[in-house]
Amino acid sequence: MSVTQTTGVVALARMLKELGAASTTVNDFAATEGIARSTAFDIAERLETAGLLVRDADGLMGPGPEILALAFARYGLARLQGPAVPLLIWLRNETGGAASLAVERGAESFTLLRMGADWQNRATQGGTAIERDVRDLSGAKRATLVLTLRPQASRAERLHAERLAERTRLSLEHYLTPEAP
Amino acid sequence: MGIERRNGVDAAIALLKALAAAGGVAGKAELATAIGVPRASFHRIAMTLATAGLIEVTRGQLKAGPALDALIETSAIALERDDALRRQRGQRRTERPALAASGADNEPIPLTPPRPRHRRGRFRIGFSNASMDNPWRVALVHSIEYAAASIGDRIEWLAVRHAGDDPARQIEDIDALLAAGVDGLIVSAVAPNLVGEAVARVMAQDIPVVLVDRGVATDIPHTSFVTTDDAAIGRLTALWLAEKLNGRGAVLMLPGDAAAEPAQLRLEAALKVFAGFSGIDILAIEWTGWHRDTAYAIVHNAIGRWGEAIAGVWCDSGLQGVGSLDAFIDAGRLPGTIPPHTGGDLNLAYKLAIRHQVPLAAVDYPPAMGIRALEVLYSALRGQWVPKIVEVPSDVILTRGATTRSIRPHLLAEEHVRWDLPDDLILASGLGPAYNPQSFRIHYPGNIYNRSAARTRGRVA
Repeated sequence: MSVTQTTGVVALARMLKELGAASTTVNDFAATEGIARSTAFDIAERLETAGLLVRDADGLMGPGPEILALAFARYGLARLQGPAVPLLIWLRNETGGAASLAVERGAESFTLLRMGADWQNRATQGGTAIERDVRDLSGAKRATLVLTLRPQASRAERLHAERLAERTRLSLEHYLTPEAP
Repeated sequence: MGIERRNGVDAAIALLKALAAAGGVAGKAELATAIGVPRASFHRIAMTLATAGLIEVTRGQLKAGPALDALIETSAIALERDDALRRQRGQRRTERPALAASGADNEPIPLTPPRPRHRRGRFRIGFSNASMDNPWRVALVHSIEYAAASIGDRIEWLAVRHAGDDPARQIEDIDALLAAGVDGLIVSAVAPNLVGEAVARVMAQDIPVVLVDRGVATDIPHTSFVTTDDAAIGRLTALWLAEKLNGRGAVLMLPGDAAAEPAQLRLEAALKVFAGFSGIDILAIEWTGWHRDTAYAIVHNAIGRWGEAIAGVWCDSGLQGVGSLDAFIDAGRLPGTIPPHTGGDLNLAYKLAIRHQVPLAAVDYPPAMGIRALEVLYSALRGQWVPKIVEVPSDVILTRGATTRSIRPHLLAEEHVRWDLPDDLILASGLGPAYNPQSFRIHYPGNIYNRSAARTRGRVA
């Protein structure tokens, strides 16, 4: 591989890594990294076509679905990267609770996704948490689904929420399987 | 950029995608073969990606790297922000659960995966509307236009076509929108089994189609269907009426449009409920087309035929319910003597019920589903997974003192009604407390002079 090719791969690697920092445009990235604008735009275009990067209407770059699938793959959850979002939104909308999906990263918990609830603000503390383990086909636990209901949630609301959390868990496990779309 | 540089970048991209496809862990030899580069080049690319933390290189294997966690966090923040904006646009209250979650508890929630992503920065959206036959349909158009305006310059244009309840015309409309180059389509179908092929033609071109209000035949592919649980509307209102009558009495049933799926589902559910009360007799089932005048004529004749024997009137909407109330009022019934009615949606229905002390139960069918439909389509266009079915929640609304054993109100009619706004206002539009269908003007890309495509006539149909 030539020096020029290596330079291109280095720029690609830095561009992808930069997606985990503050939002930036291709122009700003090129200026910061000291590379030609044409090179940066060419790399961004290729990454976008491959689904590894997305750009919004303002040109700000963000991680694309393919790189996120690779990221979720660190936790055995590559197939959930797309489906988990609408499932958590559904659970939040149907229960009024805040829904999140977390994994164990060493001794700590790492949140992959979260959908907040209207009742959550700086003045509101606590809430009733409902947790469900999400397992893969082999039965190994891969993630924890957490639904946090508002602090004054009634028993009926909790029962309803538990039922829907269970259905969400079942759905997450379904979309983890190769048979799912 | 020379060919050599392109190959290195393309190889790195291919490596990352191959590693993702392999579940985040794969052998070096396997990956090198998959991406088709010489070993030395593969090694250099792998080490460059590893230096950035995007992958980890171990003896014989490559794995997804720790720097990817920061990408997950960035994405999670962006998704939350996106979600907050969407909820702001939808003005949805989430402190109460929906009427009923669709599907069985042991079934996975059905989702639609993304189609090949559109690279266009701004989207062209079409809306094929069944008709402009009544105020509810006006509100649906307004809600979709409102959603388009809220999304703003992410949309290149929104084009709306009305089919006048003619399936052939709707097929032409859909084909015309397709020819105009829509990136995504919303359809409120005239009849489920008549426009399915046109919808399938659109889907076959990888253009997402979101159905709203009315669906198509279940075997016709579509991206999502946004609606409200029609069976629940029929069931809850019928149960209320049966309990209000203490399980005994003769009921006149006035469903909406015979060709429309929502009306069919509501009636079917209501009949099932009434069948469970041996003391409830169905005097007649008369389709009204959701027209006030039609309902008036039917009830005028019914009063002439059955008089005081009519113990209750079941309507699936106040669109025709107001016609029934008018008929009783014109027959000289005093306040407090008109039989209990069901059917809301329309501001006038609540005004009449309150003014004439008619016990009323309603579950409004929210035109706010138009806002959700556009949001779902927008998500699909941006390459996101979307729910196959979206059920927009609605409230149970009762006049004061009308609670029964099983049916309690989320909202009282006396709180829901808008005395300061027009009779033809549809209350669950999702367009905010100041919404007035007669003065509604909106700016969105593709709209001329800020005039709504609905062009309301400004009176109750």
